[in-house]
Amino acid sequence: MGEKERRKDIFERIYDIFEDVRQRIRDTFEEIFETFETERPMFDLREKCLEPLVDIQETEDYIIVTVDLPCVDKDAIKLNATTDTLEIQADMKRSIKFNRWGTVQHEVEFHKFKKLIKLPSKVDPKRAQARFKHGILEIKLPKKIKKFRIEIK
Amino acid sequence: MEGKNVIDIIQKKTINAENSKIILGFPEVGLVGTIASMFLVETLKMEEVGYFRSQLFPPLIILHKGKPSFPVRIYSHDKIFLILSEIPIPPAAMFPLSAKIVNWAKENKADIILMIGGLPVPNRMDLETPEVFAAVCGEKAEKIVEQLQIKKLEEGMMVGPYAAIFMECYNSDLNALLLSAQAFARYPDPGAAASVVTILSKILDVDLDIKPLLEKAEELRIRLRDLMRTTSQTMARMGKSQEHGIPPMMYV
Repeated sequence: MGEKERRKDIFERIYDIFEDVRQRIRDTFEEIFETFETERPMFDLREKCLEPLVDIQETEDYIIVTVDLPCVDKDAIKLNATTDTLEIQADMKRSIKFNRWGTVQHEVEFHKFKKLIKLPSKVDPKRAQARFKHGILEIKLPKKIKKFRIEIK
Repeated sequence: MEGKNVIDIIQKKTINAENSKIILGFPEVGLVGTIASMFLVETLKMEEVGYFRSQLFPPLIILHKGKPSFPVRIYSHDKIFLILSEIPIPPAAMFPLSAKIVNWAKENKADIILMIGGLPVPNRMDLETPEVFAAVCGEKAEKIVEQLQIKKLEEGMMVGPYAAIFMECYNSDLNALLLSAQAFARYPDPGAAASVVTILSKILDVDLDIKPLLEKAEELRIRLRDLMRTTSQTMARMGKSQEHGIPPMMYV
């Protein structure tokens, strides 16, 4: 093997090692964030509110957020959006009581849902549309995209 | 319990599962299996007759009314057996658990395995009564689907614990039927569970009134939020989204 090939081989091996380290760091971070997400409580005992389940779908032009809001009437929902966040607050039509709640093991009551969502890309909140059916809230937020037509020669 | 890949069935009572129907209710899409199973245990007053023990499950015990119980348990009522799980089945446990269940069903000469699941549909919000679809393995299962006129899932992919059960049933020549109701993928869906229960009452030939289940729907959706969140994460890890894809067509 010539000097040139030997050097190339060493560089390739170094590159592979860096790639491997990079992948391991990425996997570790993903695992850590996943653990945080699972272990973060979905309630606030002080404010007596629950965090609703949320699903975010992204299409080419829209971000579609759906929120599970059982025990809620449409008129009790307050929605506020900025270009990159969506805030949902909803009072329940009746309080939900748990006789022995998790580790605290005493009676707790919840009156509302609350959630602040960080959107995956910038949106135009003024053009957002929302509907509420069977306790599911769907918000369609148009993305702020600047599109340029490319001519094909 | 020897070896970390071993799954044991601990029987609390003598089990005679000959000619029985074995129902599986695992946390999956819309927690349809979990909700329907909980409803069956309560309505049919099913008795806990055993549980599964393995190092493949997380070190977790359920406390209910001060008494501990294992998260994957077996219930029975007459010739109906129900295996339910209060935790999403960890991907590493799927194959060994499936093999254990199917071997146990075979050894006990069970009639059929019935699985309760959800079929994620984007328009679920607009559906009043979700429809139930079936995936079948074996002649008996085919006959049930034909008699009850359930639409069959003809093309697509299945991913997860039920797919592993199907593989084992196919391999062991055991009848298996998956009842999958149109459901929200990431929200607990008692409406979808009610649709499956309606079909199950015909297969099991027992009277099951879904009214109490629908009345409790909102409360169930609140109580099952945490399980839904962990289940969604497990589903993502095992590549459940592949079900949305089109299978490679070898024979068009």
